[in-house]
Amino acid sequence: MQSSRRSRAGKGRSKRSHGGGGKALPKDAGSRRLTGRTGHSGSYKAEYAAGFAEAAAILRNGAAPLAGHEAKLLMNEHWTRRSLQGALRSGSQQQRGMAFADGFAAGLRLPGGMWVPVALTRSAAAVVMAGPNARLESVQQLLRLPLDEIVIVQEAAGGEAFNRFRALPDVTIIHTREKLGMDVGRTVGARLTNAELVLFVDGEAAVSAEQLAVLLAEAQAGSDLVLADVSGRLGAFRGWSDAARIQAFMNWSLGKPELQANSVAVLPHAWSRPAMERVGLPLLAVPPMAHRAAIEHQLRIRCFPVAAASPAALGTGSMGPADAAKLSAGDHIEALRAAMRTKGARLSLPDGVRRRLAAGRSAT
Amino acid sequence: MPPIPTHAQPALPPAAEAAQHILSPQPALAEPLRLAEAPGDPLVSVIIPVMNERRTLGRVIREAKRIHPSTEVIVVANGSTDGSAAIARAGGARVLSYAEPLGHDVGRGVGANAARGKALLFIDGDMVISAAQLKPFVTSILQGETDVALNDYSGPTDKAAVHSVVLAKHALNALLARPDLKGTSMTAVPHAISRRALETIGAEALAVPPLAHAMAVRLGCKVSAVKHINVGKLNLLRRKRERTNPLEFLIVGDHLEAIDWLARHTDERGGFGDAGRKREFAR
Repeated sequence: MQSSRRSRAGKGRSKRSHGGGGKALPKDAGSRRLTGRTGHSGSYKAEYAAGFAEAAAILRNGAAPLAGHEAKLLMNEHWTRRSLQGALRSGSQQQRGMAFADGFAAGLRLPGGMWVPVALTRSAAAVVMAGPNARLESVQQLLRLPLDEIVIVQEAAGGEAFNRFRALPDVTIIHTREKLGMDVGRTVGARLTNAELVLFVDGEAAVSAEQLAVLLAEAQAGSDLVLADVSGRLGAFRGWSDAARIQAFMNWSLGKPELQANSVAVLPHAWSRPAMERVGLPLLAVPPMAHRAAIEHQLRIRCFPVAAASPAALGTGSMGPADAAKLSAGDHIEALRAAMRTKGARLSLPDGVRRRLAAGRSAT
Repeated sequence: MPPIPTHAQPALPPAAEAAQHILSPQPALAEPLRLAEAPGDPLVSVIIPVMNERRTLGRVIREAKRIHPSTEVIVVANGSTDGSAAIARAGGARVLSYAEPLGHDVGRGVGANAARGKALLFIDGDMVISAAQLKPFVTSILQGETDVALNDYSGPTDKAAVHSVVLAKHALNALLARPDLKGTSMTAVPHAISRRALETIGAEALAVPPLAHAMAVRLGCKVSAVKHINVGKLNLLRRKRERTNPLEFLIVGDHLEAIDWLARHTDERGGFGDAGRKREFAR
């Protein structure tokens, strides 16, 4: 296993260190309702102005020109302070944050539309599972978030794919020649960061920074584990994959029917570090085991819809529905058996008043 | 958790039960009782566990007897106080009588133990299904097409949130590497099993139908869904009753027990392997 830690893009390298920000623009960024020069309307205009003023003040105070990672984190610090001070304001918190970020960028004379701030008082990182079909865009979206660290676990990847990710700024890459096997990279990646909030994402399915920001904000707000809510996308039960059925059955059996088919097996999701450590990092390598442990430890689990959640849960991931079903079956049997060690084979569900021995004997 | 027998006891008719075994023809029945004419053991045993089902039992027995010329009908009356046992005797069934309720589905195992047929059909005493509808289950067993002939009924699955029992059945079949069975199960009636299947899984396991189902699938019995009968529709009245006494938890618990057996019979991952995980890197 070799590790390549790229130095943070520093001052004076602003062009490069925007992390492909231009490409990572949300699709609708250009079509945003234009109201004046800022592109923000109504109450969001005030946020833009506030961001602009705060950034301009920094420049006026003689700070060296900022760019990239540092500028983004500084912006987020200011936004966090503003959010904590601010009373309830109208409109969406995320929209207001993005208006503030745009203003801040303009104040620093940087292009807008890149950053999605999240009011954070804790450090945050992302772990990217980058399989052979990993897409750059998944990481480009992460670069828009106020993450202290991005760890890319690149398994059995060729030199070409390695170089592609190496070209990104501000990322740590763990590159292995051999395959670690499904989900083992989650533990490997989690061990490489000390961040207090950790986002796990699928490098093969790009999820917009806006959606990931919601998971991060919820983890910051006190949830131990924030899952992608895929249940709404599964449709009628007859069309569910085997994996989804098995996940929903385990949730029901562990007394959490409200989780439906949602699971730690699905990416993306976010953990708080104390929760992750309570469950134990090795369990992250067998996600249903981590899921079972999270329920057993009565962690605060919340679910939010994520449009592009990894299709593994839907049985159509890169491994194919048949293999996904087998893996899910094995993982969930292992997890259920672990639960049975403390709660018995029926997981404390009653047996009524069955006189079973009568069935084993000849009638009397 | 009682030990699970791998082989059934020899299914000899118990002595005490012979007294309850009444075969006197009833004038009320239009059909002559062919059962009494058949020499030796019957080919088909129809097993009906009964607890206070006098309203429907007579009709259920009448249909059961029409399934095949060589049929014995075994009624396992347990905890019945409404004269169900007498109705069964009058209808020409062999009656195994227990004063106390045996518990859910235990009657199936008791009846199977007493059965002499080559095909065993399991039905309920409160659900009238015509002989014509029941025949295919027995026929597929007698013709050696399958060892376990299931009702091809998976429950209502055209909605996002299904009943926990429907979910459990689908999940168990997936965990048994038989997703093609969808939500069909030995939990549901009607279903028939061969004597070979009975001897493979043992009569005692029949008291926990999902366990019997898992054993049948994994111990090499041929398990297939043979005919669709919408028991959900026939079950409406019962569902009303179960609202106050939910069987839901019992049946889901049964499915978990089946998964526990599967793991003990194979390994901690049910024989599914680990997809090449190098867990040593995750320690």
